[in-house]
Amino acid sequence: MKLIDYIRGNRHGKDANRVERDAMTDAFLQEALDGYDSVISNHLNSIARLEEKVLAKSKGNKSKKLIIYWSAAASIALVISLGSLYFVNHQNESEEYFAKVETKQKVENQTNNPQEESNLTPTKEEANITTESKIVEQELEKSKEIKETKKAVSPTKEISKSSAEALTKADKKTLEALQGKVAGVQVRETEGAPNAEMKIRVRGGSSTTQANEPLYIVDGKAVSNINDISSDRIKSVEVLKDASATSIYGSKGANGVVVITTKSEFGKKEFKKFFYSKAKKGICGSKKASVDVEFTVNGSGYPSSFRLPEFSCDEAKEEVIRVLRYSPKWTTNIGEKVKLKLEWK
Amino acid sequence: MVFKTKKTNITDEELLSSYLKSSNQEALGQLYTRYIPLVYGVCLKYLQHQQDSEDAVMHIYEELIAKAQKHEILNFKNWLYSVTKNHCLQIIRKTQPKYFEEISNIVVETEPFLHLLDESNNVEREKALSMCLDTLPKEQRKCIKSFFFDESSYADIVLMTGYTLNKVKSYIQNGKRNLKSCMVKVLKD
Repeated sequence: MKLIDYIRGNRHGKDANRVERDAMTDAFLQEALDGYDSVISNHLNSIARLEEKVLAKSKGNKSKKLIIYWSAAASIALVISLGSLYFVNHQNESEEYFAKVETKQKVENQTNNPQEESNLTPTKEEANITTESKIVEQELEKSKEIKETKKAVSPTKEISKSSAEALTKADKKTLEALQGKVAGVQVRETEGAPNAEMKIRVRGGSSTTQANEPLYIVDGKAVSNINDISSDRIKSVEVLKDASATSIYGSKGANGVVVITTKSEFGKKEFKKFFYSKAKKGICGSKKASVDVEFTVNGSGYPSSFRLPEFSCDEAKEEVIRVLRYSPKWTTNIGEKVKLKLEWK
Repeated sequence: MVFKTKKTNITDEELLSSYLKSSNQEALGQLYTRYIPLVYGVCLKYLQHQQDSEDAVMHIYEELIAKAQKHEILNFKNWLYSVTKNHCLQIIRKTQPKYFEEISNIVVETEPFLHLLDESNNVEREKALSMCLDTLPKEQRKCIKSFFFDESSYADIVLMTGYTLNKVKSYIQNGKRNLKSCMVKVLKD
């Protein structure tokens, strides 16, 4: 088989050429060859092993089927025999049951003092009943407590959520956008000037001596102000008040907590990080790999029209192209040209 | 090897229909075995891992057993190619959900180009071809001639010229493209 020989490593001569030419019109073959070129391993061993497994499986299934049929037949026979046994014994069974109950009671009575038989048994039962009812009462009380605590928690817990849509429609900055959108949240300008700092006050913040600034959490980190976050980067805003705020965030949340989640960015910096994590190492041998690349981020956010004016070795160039093609969607530089210098070992 | 050539007389369609009609799994196994080198190779390309690729080949076989009965398969090879690719892509999506996007960057030539070179009955074409070959940069011309006319393999050309393997491949690819556009222009006139 010519392909097998090619995989084995016979890359010379007309047979090899034939395989390579066929690959130009057969994508399946081309991708397979790419696979064999990109992974170093004993491929022939793997292929032989796989062939054995597949053939064994395809033959083995015949006997499997037989086993399935026989076990199905056997289990049906078993069920039928058990069923008939049950029916045969059914009439006798009920009589036996009553006999057992009677003997139990007799045995119980006999263990008590035989002389005071008539007195003891009723009191024992009473005792049992009273203890049972006590247990029941306790359980009732417990469930009452649970219900009450649940009620206690709910009135104070308030989470006002404002989805990104409501906010991004507004063209103004983050804080301005919050104004009037979330119940109990008041946005005030500190001075009259239009671009002055805005402050958020969450209703319930009651201290007269300390600032009533709520706690701002952006993407899990506490920040001092949110003026520099543009509203189109916001995915969601949550406002927590009272007990729920302090229970999660401590005393810092006494004036309420504003939790903002932003949409994550993907641009030059993130792409470089992505590239260095994916790129094959040592691709130019002992030399450092260095590639200058230019591309345009197309309308859908993906790199296109690559140009690589400089590269330290062919393999590095190909590697950059390969990873570029796998790039995640960009959120910046849409429709723009991007120039990058990538260096790695 | 002799054992194998006996079986290659039966076509894919015959094996497939034997399986479909009489649930003859042996036939399906035989059919799949013919394509194991291709399936395994593609899995290697996507999964970049020997053991994972071996596992994938077996899983795809199981998929085949399940799907062959349900779907009408017109061309087994093409169908198997899709199933293989989709299976591998699914695996990649699971392990690297953020960073995966589907790429079809396979440049598959359509038949016409190779016809240009093989079927040189047409005198006009031959003339156009030799003219266009001369317009190519010398590396591209060298590689194309060796590959298509002398039937040298990539490895052969590497030895002959000293160019790297990837350079040889790109000279041939670019040369083909240039030749094609040149021939189209010339033959129009």
